[in-house]
Amino acid sequence: MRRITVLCSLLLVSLVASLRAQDDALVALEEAAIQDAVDSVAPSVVQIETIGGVERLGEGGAELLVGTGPTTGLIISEDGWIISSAFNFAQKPASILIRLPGGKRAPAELVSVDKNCMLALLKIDLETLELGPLPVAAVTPQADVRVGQWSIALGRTFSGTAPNVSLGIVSAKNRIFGRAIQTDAKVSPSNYGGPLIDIRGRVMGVLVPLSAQADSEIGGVEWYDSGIGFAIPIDQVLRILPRMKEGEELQRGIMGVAFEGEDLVAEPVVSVVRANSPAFNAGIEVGDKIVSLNDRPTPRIVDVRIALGPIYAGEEIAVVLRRGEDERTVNLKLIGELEPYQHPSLGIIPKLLAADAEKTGVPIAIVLPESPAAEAGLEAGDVLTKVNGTDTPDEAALVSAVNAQKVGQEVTISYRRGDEEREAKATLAAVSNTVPEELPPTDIPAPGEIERPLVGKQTAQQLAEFENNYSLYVPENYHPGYAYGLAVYFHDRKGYDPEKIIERLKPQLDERGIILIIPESRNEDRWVRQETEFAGKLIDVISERYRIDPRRVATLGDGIGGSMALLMAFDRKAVVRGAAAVAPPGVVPPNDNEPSQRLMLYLAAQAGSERLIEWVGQAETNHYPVTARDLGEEDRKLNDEELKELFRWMATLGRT
Amino acid sequence: MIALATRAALAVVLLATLVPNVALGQANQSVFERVRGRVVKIYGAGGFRGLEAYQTGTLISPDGYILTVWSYVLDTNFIIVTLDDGRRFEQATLVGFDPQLELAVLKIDADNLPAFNLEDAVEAEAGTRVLAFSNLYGVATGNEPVSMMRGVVAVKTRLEARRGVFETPYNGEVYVLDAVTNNPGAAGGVLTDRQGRILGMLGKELRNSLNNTWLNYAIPVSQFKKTVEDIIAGIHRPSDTNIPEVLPEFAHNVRGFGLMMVPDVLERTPPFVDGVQRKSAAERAGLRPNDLILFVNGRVIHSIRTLHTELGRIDRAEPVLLSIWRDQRLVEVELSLEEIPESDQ
Repeated sequence: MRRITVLCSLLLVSLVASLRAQDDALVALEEAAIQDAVDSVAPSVVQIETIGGVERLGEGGAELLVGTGPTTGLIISEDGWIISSAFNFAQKPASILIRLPGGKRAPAELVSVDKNCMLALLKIDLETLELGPLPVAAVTPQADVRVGQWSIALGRTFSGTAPNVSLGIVSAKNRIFGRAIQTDAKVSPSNYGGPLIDIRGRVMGVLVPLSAQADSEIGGVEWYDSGIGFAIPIDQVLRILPRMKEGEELQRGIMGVAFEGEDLVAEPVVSVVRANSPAFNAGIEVGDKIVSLNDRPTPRIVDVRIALGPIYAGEEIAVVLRRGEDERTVNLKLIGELEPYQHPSLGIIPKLLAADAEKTGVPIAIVLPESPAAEAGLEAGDVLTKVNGTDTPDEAALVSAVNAQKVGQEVTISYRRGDEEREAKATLAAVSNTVPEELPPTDIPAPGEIERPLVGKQTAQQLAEFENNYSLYVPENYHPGYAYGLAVYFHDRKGYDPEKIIERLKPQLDERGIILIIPESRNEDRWVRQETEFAGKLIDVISERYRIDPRRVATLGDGIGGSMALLMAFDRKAVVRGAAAVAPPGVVPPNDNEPSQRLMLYLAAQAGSERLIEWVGQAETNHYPVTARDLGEEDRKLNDEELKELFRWMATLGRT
Repeated sequence: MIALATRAALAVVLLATLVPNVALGQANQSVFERVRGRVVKIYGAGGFRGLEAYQTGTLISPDGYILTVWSYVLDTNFIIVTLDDGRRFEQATLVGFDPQLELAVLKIDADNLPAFNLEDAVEAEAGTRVLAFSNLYGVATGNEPVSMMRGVVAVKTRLEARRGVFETPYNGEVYVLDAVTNNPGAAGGVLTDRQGRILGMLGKELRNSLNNTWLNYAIPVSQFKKTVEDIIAGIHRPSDTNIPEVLPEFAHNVRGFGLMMVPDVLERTPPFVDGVQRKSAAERAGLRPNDLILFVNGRVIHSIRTLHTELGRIDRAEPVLLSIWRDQRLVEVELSLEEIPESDQ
């Protein structure tokens, strides 16, 4: 008996020992396999140096700078075509130089940019450089990529002869609405533009920064090295390569429809068809339900977006619709840009109700003077119940119903005054940019015996993970029964003085019921674009701590802070509803106005600044309501009267 | 008896199928058991405004010499070192430090401690599997072991601190890591290969200003072994990082070549040639107005200011290789002075 036990133990021990050795041998094999995979693709991974062309938002010292470091590219065709990420060329560099395998530097031309998948195509002239065909790596189609398999991200941004390697797995496919492979390898500016390869040394995709939320050229960069990275599948890249080689700038394909509400899992019922869009011209109507797109069933809004994700302007799609009992198919060609969208407006500010309030209509808090609502005889206190027969039980439904109409259209408004049900006709106008001279007082309940979070001045605060400081002012009269506005103030160069700022703005903040956040820039002379991430997080954190009215969230700023305020607002229209800039040295061009996101703009500037006049024009072309104020010849800030007006402007941001 | 034998055999077979899964984890686990005792938790100055008051250290001798990073945490008379088994040493001695490597050596009064021997260090390449041991975020206290992370070496490269890219005086080779070791408190920890052999020391939090990303890196043992030995022997003289780099006594300048650049009025004025003096070195080399100077001896020139700085580093006796952008083409020229101009003698 003992003998057997001893024998068994010996067997076990030797088994464990041999398996341990095998295990180490396995890891050694893996390491060697990874090395081989990297070595086989390395000759096609090139380093790209860009020189000049830094995008400036201001003059002199006030500017936002993009990094100047080298970046990575992948040789995609032996006759000299190189693919990289559009991130690296956001600043439109004057010279682009590619370091080829072997060390030779070759000038390259930026031929095309794909703004849908954030790719850039470069060309080297092999003939004048007297070079032979370039090495191209093997590829593997997305269909063969499996979630969980090894993925290796390669870049060439450090000095030396080896590419930099990051190891991970494939986390998911068809991310960012059908566009990208997701990996947990570290993807960052160190390897954007480089390949994501499998353990057999075949290219699966090209690494790019992508974000489901932000749409700008640097959207998604804030997620670098975070365990979530994206690569555009190589077969997608090869599919659009011919068009890119022609020099076309590729854009995301748009149909021209919008769906009801923000809920992505709702059924895709068309609620807006933009005039003269492909959808309009193909005969799609409000109320149609999209059944499938290019033979892909689309039971939810998100499925429509996934089906459209990898498709570009200029491509044709087949859409199957259900209208009532019938199903019909339409073919349409997607376009890149729509005529700017214009929000129609009644000119009222709805009362903000508690989330659990009964949904029986939308009570009006304020009727703006000379608005369609005023002309129709509507008054504060009236409860709106229908627009052209469509029920409007809550604010979201009202906004949606109004958005579905056009500016200039006459609509029938059903409303309740007291116990009476009434109707009125109103002609919708564009969202007005006027600021009422007077407003009814805010109805902040008296403090009484309730539990409150911290109020008053709080300076020298910090958030985990950010180095910037911030200060906060919560009006002393804070009561959780009232939803406060939220203002994020970006200071000017060397202008971070929270005591002074709070002193100046306190009367307005207390009167209008607004909480003020003052972030501090890391460098007192400039704001860096990535600091909008910090401000965004602040909005989230403060919104959790205090009761905030989501319609009255605004960014404000003086000088370079003003540029920053505008930048942040355009980047985050889902959260920021108003942006005010006083004498900004430079401005971002306004992006497209979208039906589901409203943004109002305020600009005060010295007389005669041509650039700002041009910008106001652009904003108006894009149908943003811009309130512009002339500060005269003097180089000054807002005076008391103007400040009061600015806060009245902020109080009326929720205009419908 | 036979039944027993069969049962025993069955048990062995069953266990054998289980063992692979166990054994696969065994490798990392046994390395952990070996290494954990050699890594210590260090506490010192700090603890406000986002500056944490802790970091990690690595035992490099059985009698208590500890390798760590030189930082504000050591800026106190009461450096506390806590071992893996929970023993606390209230006043570790700062034996010495090197500001360029940003490295320090501490000593505690103990013996027979488990430790690494720097002689046993190995080298790694890109793709090598590595393990990092550190007390990141100070999560481990008392007799809790430090944290272990797994990754690979991303690349082995130089930091090129001279170009002002990284805010560190160290410009030697580092292992850039594909593992998020760059966290508060992790600096001073140890990087080993998958068998637990020491590769290097985890570096401080560092930002790559070329692309605004945080860098995860470790300094290879070969880069600091001699310095550590000297510190322990008491013969190390820390190099002063404030001394400006030694520039040649007579260096090149733009004027010496007969080059006139466009007025330097922007923050980064592109280095365009405005004019070339007749009978000058520049004219001989074939430079022309509107040429854009892209590289000097292979280093990228982003502005006129950078051009002056780079030329100022090259001895006048040496030729200078310029890469020029002219008419959409890259042209290489070599500039040299035939004789030192009289006006500068």
